[in-house]
Amino acid sequence: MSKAPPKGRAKPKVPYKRYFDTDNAAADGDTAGLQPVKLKRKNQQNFVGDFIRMQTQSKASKPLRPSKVKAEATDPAEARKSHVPPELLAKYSRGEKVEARGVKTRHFKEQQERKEVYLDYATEQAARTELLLQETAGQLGADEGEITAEYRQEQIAANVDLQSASKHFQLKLEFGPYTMRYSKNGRHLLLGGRRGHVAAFDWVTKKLHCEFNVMESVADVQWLHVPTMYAVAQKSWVYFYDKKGTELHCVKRLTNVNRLDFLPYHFLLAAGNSAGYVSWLDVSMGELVGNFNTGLGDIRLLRHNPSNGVLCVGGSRGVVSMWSPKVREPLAKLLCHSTAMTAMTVDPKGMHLVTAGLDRNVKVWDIRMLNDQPLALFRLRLPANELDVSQRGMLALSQGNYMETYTDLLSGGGTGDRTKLPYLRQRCDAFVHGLRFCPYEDVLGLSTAKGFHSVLVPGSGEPNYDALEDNPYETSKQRREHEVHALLEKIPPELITLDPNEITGVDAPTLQEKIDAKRQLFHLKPPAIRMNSRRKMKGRGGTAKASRNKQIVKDTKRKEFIAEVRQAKKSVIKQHSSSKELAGDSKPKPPRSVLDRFKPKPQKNHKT
Amino acid sequence: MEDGEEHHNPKAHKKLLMAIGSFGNIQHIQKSTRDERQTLQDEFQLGKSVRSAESHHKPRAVVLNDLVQILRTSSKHIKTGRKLKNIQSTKKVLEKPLEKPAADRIRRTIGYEGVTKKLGRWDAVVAQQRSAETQIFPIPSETIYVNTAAHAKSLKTSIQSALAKELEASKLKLHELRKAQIGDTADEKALAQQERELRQKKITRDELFARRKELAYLKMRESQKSAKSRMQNKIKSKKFHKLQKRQKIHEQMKEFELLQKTNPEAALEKLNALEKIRVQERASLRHKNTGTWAKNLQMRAKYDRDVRKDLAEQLAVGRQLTEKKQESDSETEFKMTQDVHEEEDKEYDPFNPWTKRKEAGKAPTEKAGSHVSNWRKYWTERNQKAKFLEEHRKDLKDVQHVENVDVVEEKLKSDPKPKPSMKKVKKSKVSFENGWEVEKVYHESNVTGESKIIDNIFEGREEKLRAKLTKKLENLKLRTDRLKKAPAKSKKVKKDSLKNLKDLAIKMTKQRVEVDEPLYYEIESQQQVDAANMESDPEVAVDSAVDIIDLSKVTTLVWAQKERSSGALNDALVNDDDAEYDEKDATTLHQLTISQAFEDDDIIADFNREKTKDSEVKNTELQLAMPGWGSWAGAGISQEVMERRNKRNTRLLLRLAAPEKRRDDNKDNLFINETSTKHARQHMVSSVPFPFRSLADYEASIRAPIGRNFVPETAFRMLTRPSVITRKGQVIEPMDDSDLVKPERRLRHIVDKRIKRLPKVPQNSQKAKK
Repeated sequence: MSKAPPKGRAKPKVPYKRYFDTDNAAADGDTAGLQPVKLKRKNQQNFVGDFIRMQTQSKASKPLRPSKVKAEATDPAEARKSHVPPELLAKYSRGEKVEARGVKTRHFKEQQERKEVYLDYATEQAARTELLLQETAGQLGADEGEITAEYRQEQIAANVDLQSASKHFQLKLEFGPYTMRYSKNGRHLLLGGRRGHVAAFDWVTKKLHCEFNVMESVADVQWLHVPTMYAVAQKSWVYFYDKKGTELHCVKRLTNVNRLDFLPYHFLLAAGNSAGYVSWLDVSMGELVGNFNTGLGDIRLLRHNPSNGVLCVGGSRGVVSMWSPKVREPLAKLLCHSTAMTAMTVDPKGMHLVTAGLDRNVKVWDIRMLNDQPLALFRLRLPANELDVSQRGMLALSQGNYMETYTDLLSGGGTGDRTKLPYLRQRCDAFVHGLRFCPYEDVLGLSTAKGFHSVLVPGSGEPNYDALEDNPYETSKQRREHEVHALLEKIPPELITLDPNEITGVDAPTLQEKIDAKRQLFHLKPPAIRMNSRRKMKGRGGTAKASRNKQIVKDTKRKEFIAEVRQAKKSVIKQHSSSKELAGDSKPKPPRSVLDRFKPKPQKNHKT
Repeated sequence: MEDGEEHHNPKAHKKLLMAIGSFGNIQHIQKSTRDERQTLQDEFQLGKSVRSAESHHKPRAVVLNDLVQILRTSSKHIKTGRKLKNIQSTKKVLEKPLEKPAADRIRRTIGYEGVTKKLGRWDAVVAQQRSAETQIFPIPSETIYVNTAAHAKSLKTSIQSALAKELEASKLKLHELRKAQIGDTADEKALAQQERELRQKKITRDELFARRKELAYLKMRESQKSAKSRMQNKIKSKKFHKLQKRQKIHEQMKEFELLQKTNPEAALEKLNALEKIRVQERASLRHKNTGTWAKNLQMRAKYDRDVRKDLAEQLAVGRQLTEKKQESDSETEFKMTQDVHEEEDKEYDPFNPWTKRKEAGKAPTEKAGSHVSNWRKYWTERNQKAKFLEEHRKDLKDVQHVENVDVVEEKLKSDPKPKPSMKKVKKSKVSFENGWEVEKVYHESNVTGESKIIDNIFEGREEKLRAKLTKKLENLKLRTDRLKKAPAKSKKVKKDSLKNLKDLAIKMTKQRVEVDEPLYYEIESQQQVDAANMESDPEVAVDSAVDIIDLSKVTTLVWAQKERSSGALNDALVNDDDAEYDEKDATTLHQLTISQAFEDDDIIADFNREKTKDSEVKNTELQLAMPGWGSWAGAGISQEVMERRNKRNTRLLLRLAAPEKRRDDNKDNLFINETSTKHARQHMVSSVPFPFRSLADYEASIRAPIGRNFVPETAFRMLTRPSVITRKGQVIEPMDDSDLVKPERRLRHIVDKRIKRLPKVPQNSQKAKK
């Protein structure tokens, strides 16, 4: 006796599937309606008996058939859970799996396969977190007949929300050309005026931490690993101050420093001075881990590559050289411009190197592949004197007191059309001396000779931040914890190499080393043999006999050694001479025929 | 002298000769000659067997054949002789037992094999535990809910047979007895039959009304009575109760007298019952020291010592009387006989001819009446009887508990409709038609309820099993005995019997635990999969190739900043540009001119020169020529000539390295230092570590970081999960045999499930590859 459904509302053809619906319920959709959730099995519901611990199923395993098992792998619950789109998985994938063929024993094979399952799971989980990336980056879009480059800051500020509008501001300061740095989480700003003015403040809330005059010329300023400490390159030495402006330290070994940079994962403060020295100061230990002359002269351009920690130094000869603290030679040199360089930067992902020279070009290089041809070339009317790349790959460059931004590092341009106009442009009241995008904000900071501009550049910053990595809203407790974690995960300075994954490889000798080893073989001397003969009891052979024995042993050893070396030499000679011969007579001789004797004989040289 | 010769004693001579002859084989111990019976054979009397050489003139030892020969002489014993001979020919002499070390060796090997077999059962478990991702200790066991009530049904019959049936029988007997007591001799079965017949008949309307009326009356009476008794019970006056009791006794006595006249046997029974009641009452501690004598004594006991003594004695006597007696043998015997007697008394056997007589006399009349009976008559009779029964029950004090069962029964009986009874039957889940059966079910359920202790169930099962086993064993023994008894008749028969024996063997239970799990899986299928992959691969490769090529990476994108004059679109920027170009100050212009002047001067050339200088490999050539070689003509040959000559002579100049390809070979503007990473190399491994075959595999194995910063927290926890998880404060018991058959732990995490689903790597994969 089933009730007739109410007439008023038409029954939906396919009942909406809810999370608690089982497949069965969906199957007999005719009955419709939600069935009550089954709490227990029937024999458990009216359960009268006692609880006994016993086994129901025996351990006898089902016949394993891998092909079938794989087919079964798509069990519905799992399928529901893991429908991560493959392109996302590819995005978070860590690379090729280890093939079972490449692992030696069965045990390790199994272990490796299991590990791959874990890694797959990790990738899946990471891909699933995409769901949380709700903030999307956008850009200004121009209407018909308009271009984004004509929008003024006032217009933009008037059209954005109050909080964002408050991020557009201007500071008029008196102490000469300024340099500036944002902290790593983009919350704090440090300004250093050439004429001694140092100011640190939370630029979002405009809360001043400290402001003072060091009564010396200030060349550069730099935040350290936490926004409570910073370094100031003053006239002769580098000083450290805390947030309150208290002088913490003065490092006199860093003299006449022009540029400062900080490697947050290595805890290294890099400095380039006017005599061409680069120095790395480990701020966790207070130790100079590297300090040598590059031979490049006055270092005016210095940036580190965030992906591998290599220090890029731009020189007056148009060459960018890359340095590691433990190697006294450049890891690589790239001739970027045929003139002197004016600006240089590396994008935050460490993929591109952007250089500007007096030849009025801005070039974008692939810093990972290290090609000798730039990926993109910007021909400017005037040489760019400052460059920066935002987290989203926007390029900002300044020419004199004039600033332009481009939406993309490689394709440039602000609007979609082919003319590739700049995205935004801004004219400042004075020469631009510093130019930095603020991390995690759509803000570009410009420090000029007369002050500081905070410019809104919509779509420049990364909207999704990893709070465990850089948290703009971090509390002091979080900051402390982060500091400890960062210290524990500090990367030793000797691991700064061009390829950060080199450490995963196997140490293979270089060509020079091989050659040196072979050469050494020819100059080897038999090693001195020190032999301590066993103490003999009295009357068992005298000293004469002992010395004779010693001599015999030494001789045999030496002979053995010499024989070995000779053998090795022979093999080396054979190897190289044979290879040369092979290389020499690359074309094989034709087989001799019977009629060859009638051929004209080669002319013999006349004896004089 | 002659005398001496004459005195030649042949006997002595022979002895002498024998002594001489036996010098060679020395036997100091003479073979004993038996002259009288000996129970024990001394070991010193066992001499060597007689040599064959001497045997011809010596009496040889008695052998079996001799005995047979003797037996052959008399026809009486011929058979026995033959048998003896037969035995000697057929029966083998047992072999000498093995020497101790050899026997030990065998025992050891057998023992070893046994132990290996025993331990081998654990192999799979051990392998599994070793390769397990995580091990949890103590090993978790899943609680499984078993509805034991569901199983109770099947077991019920077995229990009923033992207990319930007996009880039932006794109950029935009691019922019969009681009926006999009141002189009710109606046959139950006949009654039932009658009732059934009546039920089948149609009931007239009047009858129905009457019946219903009667029922109502009965019900009313019952309720009245029960109410009355309840009220009376509530009365606190002792005197009233005493009086009542006395009255009851009086009534009983009256009844008894009446019974004595009508039914002496029943009267006797009643007397017994009354006596029993009295005894029980007295034995209960209710009346201890409550008599007037005792009370008086108690009063006086305060002052008089003797009286106190008397009282104590009295108490002691009471205690002694009420004490449970330990039965001695003689007593038990006496008791047994008594018991038997009592039993005879108690058990009123309906089939007993002595007791049956009267019933037999009455039964036919009943039957005769039943034939003519109609409903009304039947019911009046029934009810009368019931009344009697009830009264009787009241009289009997020992039947204290009201047998509600009977009441129910009565109700059911009085019910005209069969439907309600059916309902009740349904409730009790046993399908019986009759009211009598319902009662039975009640008892059954009670019984089962009491005895439904799970242990008992299991014990019962076990016992059954054991009984079965013993039975089978006995059967087996019997058969084997039979086989032994019947010696070789024919081989075929033997075989058959043996087969039977095998058949007799206890059958294997179906749920055999397979401990050794199959570690292999079909390689073919994998190959198929591989093949499929191979097929799909080329396409992928092509696709990827297409993907890889990116225009931006091949060519440099050149873009120029717009000049003021170019393009109409730039008009919008005019204002700004004007301002900008004004700013083009002298310094920048100056810089520009300088840069233009020096452009392409020698920066590129310098760079290239440096590059070649830095990238050249040093000391690649090795001069094998010794100083003085080739300079036999004396000094004066210029060094250059010497060098040239040496260079030409390839034999003496060893070029150690063919120039290797550098990363920056074809890149003009780039120099990469290839000898630089000395410090980083300290942290690298010097060769491909063990389980990996190639560098690519090794690198792939450490490609993915597992830290908190790199993977999500959930994944991090899984990746860094400990391999052994122990619970705090819990004792980890060693595994026992039950772990061999335990079901595998249910896996909750998806990773564990996937791992379990991974195909096992075949053991011989390596060999196959090679």
